[in-house]
Amino acid sequence: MAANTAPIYSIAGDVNSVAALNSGLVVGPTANTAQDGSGTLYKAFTAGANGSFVQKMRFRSVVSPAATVCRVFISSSSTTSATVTWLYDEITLPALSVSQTAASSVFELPMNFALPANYLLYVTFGTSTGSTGTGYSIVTIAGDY
Amino acid sequence: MITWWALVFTIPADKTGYQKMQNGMCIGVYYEDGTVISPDEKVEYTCVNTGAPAPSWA
Repeated sequence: MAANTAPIYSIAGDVNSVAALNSGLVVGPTANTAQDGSGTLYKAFTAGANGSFVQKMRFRSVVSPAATVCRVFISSSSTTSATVTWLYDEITLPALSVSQTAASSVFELPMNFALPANYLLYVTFGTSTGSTGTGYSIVTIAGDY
Repeated sequence: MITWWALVFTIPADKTGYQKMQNGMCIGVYYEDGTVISPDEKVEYTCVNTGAPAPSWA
């Protein structure tokens, strides 16, 4: 008999950001072309002690970043490496110009899966988006079980 | 318009280079000596100047 025949729901919202987990950093100026989980990755989310349902990641430009690709990794350990860190998805981010009179484009990566307890999400960028402070604010919307 | 961004590499360590830009798009990444970096190559770098002078080999 199946162990769980009833759907489960998250018990509390869990919203986190790359900035919150990396001392306020606007990510993008540092590029890491590796697709195997090696090199510097920026933590975006940590699942709760009972796992988390991750709904989406939302990418909002800061200043005027150049075009790039953002790669999202799932890791079973906070010590990232090619064996425990796996490329999950990519999203194309175009060049954008900041405006004070119109909203800039926003990009979302739908996820909608259960992330096991204490697993983590990381991001990297394929090319640099600009100098310090020019890049992306990335927010993960989830709920903890 | 072509612009050049100065880069400092951490992988491989102690190298510098350039990101060649056109209209907000990266159209090439190079080491300081002009060696082009293939998209297959694992590198890690940070932009330190978005208004660098064009390299002599450009």
